Formats: sequence, structure tokens, C-alpha cells
Amino acid sequence: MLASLIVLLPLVGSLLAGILATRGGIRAFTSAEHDTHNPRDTRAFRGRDIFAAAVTTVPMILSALLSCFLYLTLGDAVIHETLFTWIRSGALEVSWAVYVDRLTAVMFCVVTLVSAAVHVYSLGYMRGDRSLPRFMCYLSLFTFFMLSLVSADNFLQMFFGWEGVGLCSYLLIGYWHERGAANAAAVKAFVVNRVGDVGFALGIAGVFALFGTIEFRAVLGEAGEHTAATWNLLGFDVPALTAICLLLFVGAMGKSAQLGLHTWLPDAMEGPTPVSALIHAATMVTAGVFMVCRLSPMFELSAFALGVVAITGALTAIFAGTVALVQNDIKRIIAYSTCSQLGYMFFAAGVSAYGAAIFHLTTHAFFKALLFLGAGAVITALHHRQDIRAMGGLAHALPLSCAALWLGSLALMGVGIPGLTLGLAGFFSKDAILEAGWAAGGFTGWLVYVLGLAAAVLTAFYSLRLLFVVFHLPQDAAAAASARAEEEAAHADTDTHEHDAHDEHDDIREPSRWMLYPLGFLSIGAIFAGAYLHHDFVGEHAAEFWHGALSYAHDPLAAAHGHIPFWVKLSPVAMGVVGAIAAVLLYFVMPARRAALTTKFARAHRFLMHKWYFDEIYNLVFVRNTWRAGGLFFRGGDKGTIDRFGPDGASLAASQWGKCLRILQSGYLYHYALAMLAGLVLLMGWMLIQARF
Amino acid sequence: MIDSLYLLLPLIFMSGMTLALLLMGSFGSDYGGIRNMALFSLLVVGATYMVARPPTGAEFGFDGLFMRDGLSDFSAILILVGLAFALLLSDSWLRRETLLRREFPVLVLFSGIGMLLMVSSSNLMTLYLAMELQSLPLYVLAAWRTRDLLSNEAGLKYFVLGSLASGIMLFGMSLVYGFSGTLAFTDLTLDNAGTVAGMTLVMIGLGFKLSASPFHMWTPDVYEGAPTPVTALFSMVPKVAALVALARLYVLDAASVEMLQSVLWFLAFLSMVWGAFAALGQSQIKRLLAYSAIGNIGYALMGLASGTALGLESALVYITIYLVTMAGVFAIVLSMRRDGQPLEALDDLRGFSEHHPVVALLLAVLMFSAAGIPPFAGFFAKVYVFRAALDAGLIFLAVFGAITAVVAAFYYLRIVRLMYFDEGSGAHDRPLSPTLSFVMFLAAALVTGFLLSPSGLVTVARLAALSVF
Repeated sequence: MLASLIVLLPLVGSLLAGILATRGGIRAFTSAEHDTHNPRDTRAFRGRDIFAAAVTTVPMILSALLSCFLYLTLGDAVIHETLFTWIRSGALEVSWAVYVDRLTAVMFCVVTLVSAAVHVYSLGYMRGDRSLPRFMCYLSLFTFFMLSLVSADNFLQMFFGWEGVGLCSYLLIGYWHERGAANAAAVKAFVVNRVGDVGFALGIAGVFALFGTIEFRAVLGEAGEHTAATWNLLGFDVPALTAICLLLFVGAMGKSAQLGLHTWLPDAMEGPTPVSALIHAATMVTAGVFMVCRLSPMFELSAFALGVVAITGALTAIFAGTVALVQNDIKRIIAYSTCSQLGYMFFAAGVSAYGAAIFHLTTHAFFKALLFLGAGAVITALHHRQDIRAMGGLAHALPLSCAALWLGSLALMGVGIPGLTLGLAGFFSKDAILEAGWAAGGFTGWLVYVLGLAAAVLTAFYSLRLLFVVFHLPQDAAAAASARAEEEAAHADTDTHEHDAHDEHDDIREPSRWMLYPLGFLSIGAIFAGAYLHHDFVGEHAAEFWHGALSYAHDPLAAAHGHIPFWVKLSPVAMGVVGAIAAVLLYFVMPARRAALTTKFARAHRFLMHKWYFDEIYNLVFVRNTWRAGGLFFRGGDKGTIDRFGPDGASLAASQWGKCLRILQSGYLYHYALAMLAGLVLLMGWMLIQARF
Repeated sequence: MIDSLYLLLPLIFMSGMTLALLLMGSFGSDYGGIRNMALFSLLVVGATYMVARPPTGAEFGFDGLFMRDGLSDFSAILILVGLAFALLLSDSWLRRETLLRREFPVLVLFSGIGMLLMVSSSNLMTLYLAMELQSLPLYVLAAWRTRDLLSNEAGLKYFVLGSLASGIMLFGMSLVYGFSGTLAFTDLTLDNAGTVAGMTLVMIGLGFKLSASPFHMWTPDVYEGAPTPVTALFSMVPKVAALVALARLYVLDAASVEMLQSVLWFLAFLSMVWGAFAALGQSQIKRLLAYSAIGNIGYALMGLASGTALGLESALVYITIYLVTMAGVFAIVLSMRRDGQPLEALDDLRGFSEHHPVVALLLAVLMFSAAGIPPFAGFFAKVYVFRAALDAGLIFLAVFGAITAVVAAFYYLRIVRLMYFDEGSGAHDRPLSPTLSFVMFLAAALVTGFLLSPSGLVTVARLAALSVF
């Protein structure tokens, strides 16, 4: 009951806001035309906005409180409520359920807490937006889908939530649909996710083919009996479990923006900042990690699949870190950082340290949401300007936002004191992941460990670069001008926000209280989440804590507990310090070297600026060829063949037939009589021919 | 003789009432009173049919000239409902056109008596007389607008071609009598070529009344020329009587079905094709509805052609739903006026939804139903006839039925497009007559609500159909 309530409350809020408060909904109920130019109407809008805000935010906060209560009281119990049978077809029976074990309870807390914070924050951030009810409706709907994803007891319901969050992500990225770039980004996110979803769907089909059921407990319980099963694919015998795991992982890569399918995530920053915080940092993009962890008993059985997961994760971590070094859009920098941190989570999962993966997921949700919301505060203060080159020296004008971003960044870098278990959230989780990599050993373990350490250097560097440029260094006039020019060119056609020339920083103010409270709340999470949770999540008794929700068959941390040398514990922090020193050197001590380095390694710089040319290559290989093939099929196949001989041809023939028949309808009586008699003769003749007596 | 008189009681009552109304008219009663009395008599007769059912099976009277069974009762009630609709619809239109003469309801009732006799006749002689009785008032009604050339032309064309059809039919009956020596349905056996030829000719005569192709040529001209309320009457009621009479002749016994199936096949096929294709370029609503009627009769005949109880049931369901749909459509057509002038062109529907959103919605619903789009009743009507035809192995017919349904959907949906997506041609007059509004609402509600309980109508139709098998 409690668990169902948590899932359904956001849906109720979303429906209320969507049906009763949006313009379409109001029109349907009052059948009155609402004209935006009508001054009376603006008052109606405000009332609607308050209504929508209340009916979405209050259930969301309630849901968050219930989640915390559930997490604290759950113990080792498992709640399994079946709401109704969804599909029954042959051997396939799928019910709609709320399945809560420790893993789900943790996800519930993460999702609802961040979502509640973002709901409150949105009230400030989106103030005055023309369609706030629609926005709140989408946000709550997203939360509902996310919760039903994490509380699924079978693959199909998970897929439902998976697609649902994808849909909401699409809707929210394209929320400012007057902007061409937002629409393009929304479509890109949707299409790229489709690629992953095909993998996921095939994986589900494979599960059903192999197990005859798609219920998690049955599948995970029986997985061990099917290790020897193989499928013949194009003449090769493929181990069935590995194939399934890899297909499912393709789905996870799409949703969690892993290397290869990551291209949509930076573009998704076209959406409003609260959306970036909730969906594209804290919750939805972690669905892939959650899925791998949920299915950990199955992934455990395929060493190859795990290796792929680990290496993909580590490569993503390093790739995204390098790209983040040179980006200029404040949100894109954080987006690449998200991508990189997701890589960490996957690499933890890939070395069987699922507890560490979920741990990092949780802490990351807090500090990354904090970072985004802090960035949002800066963006609002600067009237929706996002290029960091156009910022600078904002520390005095925006002390609170500055503090929030500093805190979030320090947590992201993993600042802490090894040995004393004293540190910010990221310190504990990143430490756990890197230790797991070291403890896992072997080629994969070492590779990901080294890559992870390298990524830690990058993390520290790009985080500090962001802080320095935005808050502490004076604005570089030339860079700012070029940034503004770029920005104006990008938004020249469709501009929804008042980009008056606010060149001076005199009217920059801290955001409203609605936006500051969530920042404060998330700061608490970013500071204490690691210290509070690390004992349970990755401590000595983690296996008992997770109580079967995660596989502890090969957990490297459990195996190596107490035998991890101090230098391994020290190394992440040390790497962070290296990155930090580099940043300080390049930005404070000898800024001139920066330009020199940029020119010296111009090619590398360009390579990073273009994000390793992923978009360009995809454009060239996939997008353009798809367009071409589409054009070919459209003109040649559809227009030229099907339409010409199908609908168009048939309708032309039909109208010509009709013309012939109408000629017969001459209006002359004797023609009609003749027609009748002709019909008579025809019919009688036919009757007499076929009659046999 | 006397003991079978009770079978005729409803008809005797109706005839008495009609004659009394004729007298009342000549003694100066006003139109409204006569119309109300006519409706009252329809109500009474309908109630009699509803309540006083023959106990079991078929009952014959007057030495087998006349019968009552489930089929006759079902169709009689349907005819009475149709007549009531026709009377309700005609009022306001006739008043506006100053065509309100007291004979109108009387003629409608006379024709109705003929139709009721038609569905109850069990002898070719009765059938012929009944058919003439229902036709003659209709000829007059078609020419009701006496000073209008088109209306006169319509009446004359209908009369001349109807006489030709009667002649063909009569010739067929004489052939049947000559070769088999009987006119009673129960005694007829189709065991020789002469009888079969005679029956074919009789069916052609009925096909004319049904406006089944290729004996439909009168339909578009008469529909267009006749005053619109009369067109509404034409498109609703006489078809039911003719269809039932045709069904009785067709399913005499297993042999007759086998012999005569090709006649129905021929009529159904041509009607579906002709109704669909010839309607494509029409610009007059009434002409379009005429072709629509031809096409729809084709579908009903396809159901009937299967020659099974299921087939007859499906044909009855089809014609019932068609009747209701047409009542609604004509209620809307009759209410279309601009500056007091009736509108009959399709172009007058352009942008209809802007000024009359509710009426446009009703018409859209009716058109979707007519096009056979779920969840409206017309979809189920088509499903039933297609199922019956497929069960009976009439694959070719069913395939062509599906094709022509697609073609026909074009012109039904074109009306929806005109109303909703085209530039407006200006507002129509308001307000609508309450009676017309009532009928259009009722029809649209029935067509939409059929989904909720399709089994009601289907069960009744099944009982009616089973009574002749």
C-alpha cells in the first residue's frame, strides 16, 4: 500500500496538473477560447500556475517523505504488491507490480528526494513561464515513470518505465519548443535512445526465449541453470546468457549515455536546467546502472559481458572527462561530467562491485543535482546566458550560488581525508569504486583502475576550471564578446527569453528562496550522504545489507576487505590534487601558458572541442545515409511505386470509373428503361445458362 | 375467413384511421391535427405488433394469402418507425416551402399500409397488390411540389419506370403460375426453368423498388427532384418492405436459395460497385445519398445472398442501422437553410463546423458510421454482413464489398473534411426546428450507443430471421 502510494502520488499530481491546469485542459472544461492577449487571462494563468504547482509539488514531497520512511523501516523485508495482471498471452503473463527490496528502496529515496527538490526549485526557475502547468505535469509524470521503472518485478514493466522516462525526457528537452535547437536535441535524444531500446527489447525477447518468463525473480533464480545454453547466430554458437546481457547492456548504454550512444546527453542540455538536474544527471540516466545492478546475478554468470561493461564504463569516464576540459557551455561541462561519472558506475558494476555502483549513483545524484541547480541559479541571474566565457568574477555578486557550486564540485572531485573516513559524498563512493577496480585485479581490473585514476585528474581539473572562470577570474572581454556573438547567432531565429544587453553585472541577484532551499537541501546530501551511507552500502557487512538485492558472489571489495593498501586509498585523492594543482597553475599562476598550450596542441584541442568528432562521424555515416536512403525510398519507393500504382492510381481509376458511370445517368427516361431491360436480359441469360434441370 | 381476420386487425385499424383522416382533411381539419392523428395511429399499430404476437411460428390467414410471423412483425415495426420518422421530419420543411397540404400524412399512411401488406404477403398475388398500393402514393409524393419542374419530372420518371417494373414483375408471376400452377409461397417449388425465369423477373421488380443496380437508374433523379422530406421517406422505408419481400421469395427452401443465389449475387455486386463509384463526383447532397442508398442496398443484399439465417439476420440489422442513420442525416439536410432557402449542395457544408459545431459533430458521427468506421453502428452492420457472406462462401462478393466500402468511405469522409477543414461558406440559418434536432440527436446517439449493447438488436433480428427458416 505504502509502496504503491509512493509510485502513484506523482501520477496523480501529474494528471491533475495536466488535465485541469493546462491551457488545453481548461479549454476542454470551460469551452472558452483563451486568448493570451487578454489581460484578464494573465490572472487566470497565475491562478492556474499556483494550482499546478501545488498539486504536483505537494504529492511529490509526500512521496519523498514516504520513501524515506520506507527505506528506514524496510529492514530485510521485501514488499511485493501485484496491482493487476497486465498482459496474459500464451505462456507470457505480465503483472503490474510494485516490488520493493533494498535496491528499490534506495532508488525510491534518490528519485523522490531529488525530484521533490527539483519540483520546488522549478517554481522559482520557471516563474513567469507561459506554460508552467505543462512543465510541472511532465516533471511529475517523469517521476512516476521512473518509480515504476525501479519498482518493476519483471522486464516488461521495467521497459514501460524505461520508455516512459524516455518520453518525458523528450518532452522536457523540447519543452521550449519555439527553439529549433531544443527540438533538434529532443529528437536526437529520442532517436539515439531508440538504438539502445532495440537492444533492450531484443534482450527481453531473448530472456523470454531462454527462460519462458520475464519475471525477475524467476529469471535471476534460474539463470545459473542456463549457463551452458547457446544460440546459433549466423553460424556461430553464441552463449545465450552473454548475448542477453550484452543486448540489455546496449539498452543501458543508450539510457545512461555511455561511449557510442552518449551523443544525445550534451545536447539534452537544451532543456530547462531543472530538467537537466533531475533527468539528465540524477535519475533517468542512472537507469542503465540500476538495470545492470538489478540483473547482477545474471551478469555475474557472464564474465565477458561484465568485461564489456567495465571497459565501456572506464572508457566513457575518460572520454567524457577529456571533452569536459575544453567546453564552454556551463551546462555542457556538467553534462560531460555526468557522462564521465556514469562511466565510473558502470565500471564498478563491471568489476562486480554493485554496491559501489549504487553508492556512487546515490551520492552522485545529490552532488550533481546540486551542481546543475547551482548552475541554474547562475544562469537565471545572468538572464539565461550559459557560456562561461561571458561570465567571470561572479563570486561577489552570487555568494550563495558560488558556495553551492563549490560544494558540488568538491563533492564531485571526492575531497576527503583517507584513513579518517572524513570527506564529502563523492570521496567515499569514488574511493570505493577505485578500490574495487584495484581489488578486482587482472587485466580488466588494472585497466579500469588506471583509467579511473586518470579520469579523477580530469574531474578535478574541469571542475576547478569551471569554478575559476565563472566566479573568480575577471571576465575576458574578447572571449565574452565572441561567446555572446555565438550565442546570439544560435538563438537569433527563435528567442523566448529577454536577452537584453545586460552587459554589466550590476543587476545580477541571487535567485529567489524557492531556488535556494533545494540548493541547501541538496548540499546536505552532498556533504553527508557518503559518510552516512558508506558503511551500509560498501562496508564489511554490505552483503547482509543488500540482502540478495545485489549479487555478492564475486564482490572484490568484500573479498579484499582489510587488505587494501593505504596507497590505493590515497591515490584517488592524490589524483584529485594533481588535477587541482594543474588547474590552479594554468588559471592563476601562469595563465599565459594556457594560450600557449592551446596553440601548441591545437590539433588535440580541436579534437576535444569537437568531442572526439563523434557527432561528425555519426552525421556522416548514419544520419546522412539514412536521409539519403529515406529520400530514395520516399521518392522511388513510396511516391514512385506504391502511391503511383496504389492509392493515387486507384483513386484516379476510381474517379474515372465514376465518370463513366455518370455518363450512363443521362436523365433520359428511355435510356433508363433501356438500362433496366439490358440488365434484365443479362441476368436472365446468365440464369438460363447456369440453370440445370 | 372470419377467424383469420384478427391477423389483419392492425391493418384494418390503420386503414380505417387513414380513411378517417382523409375525411377529416376534406372537412377542414388542420395539418397538425391530421399529422398527430397519423402518428397516433402508427403508434397504436406498432404497439399492436409489439404486443399481439402470433403465438408460435407463422400463422396464415385467408387461405394462405396473408401471413404473420417473426419476420413480418419485425419489419412491420421497422416500417412504422420509419414512417414516424418521415412524418416528424417533413413538418417544418413543408411548412417553410408552403407545401403543407393535408393529404401528405394520408398518402404516407396509405403507402405504409401497402408496405405492411408486402411484408406479410405469402402469395404472389397479395405481394403484387401490396406493392402497387405502396407505390402509387409514392409516385404522387415524388411530384408533391406541383409547380416545380424537377419534382414533376421525378414523379413522372418514377411512375413510368415503376410501371415498367410492375409489368416485368407481373409477367414473371404469370410465368410462375403457368409453369407451377400456384402462386402461394408455401407451394412453390423451383423445379423447372420457367418457374425460375418467372421468379427472376419477380425479383427484378423488387430490385427496382430496392433501387438495386442495374434497376436503380431512377433513384438519383427521383431523390434529387422529389421534395427532401419525400426523399427521406424514400430512402428509409420502402426499402425495408422490398427487402423483406425479396427475402421471403429467396429462402422458400434450400433449392430456391441454390437457384436464385446468382440473382442476388448479381444485384448485390453491381449495386455495391455502382453505388461506390458513381457517387464519387457528385456535388448534390441528395444525389450523393441516392448513390449511397444504392451501395448500402448492395451490402444488405450481400448479407441476404448468403441464404442462411445468419445472412437474413445480418441484412435486417444492416437495414435497421441504415434506416436510423438516414433519419439522422436527413434531419440535418432538412435543417440546412440559408436566408430561408434550402441548401442541397455539398459545397454548402464547407466550414459547417465553425458555425454549427454540434450539428457538424452529429453529421460527422453519422458519416463515420455510414463509412463503417468503428466504434459506430455502421461498422458492426458491415461486420455482420461480411461475416454472413464469408460463412456462406461468397468470398468474391465479400472482397468486392470491402473494396467498394473503401471507395465509399471516401465520399462519406469527404463530407467530414468539407465541414471541418475547408474554408467556410457562411453560417446557416438558426434556430433549428426542435423536432429535427431531436431526430438528429436521437439518430447519432443510437448510432454511437449501439456499441454498448449490440446484442439487443441482433437478438431480435435473429428471432425474426429464424422464423422463416
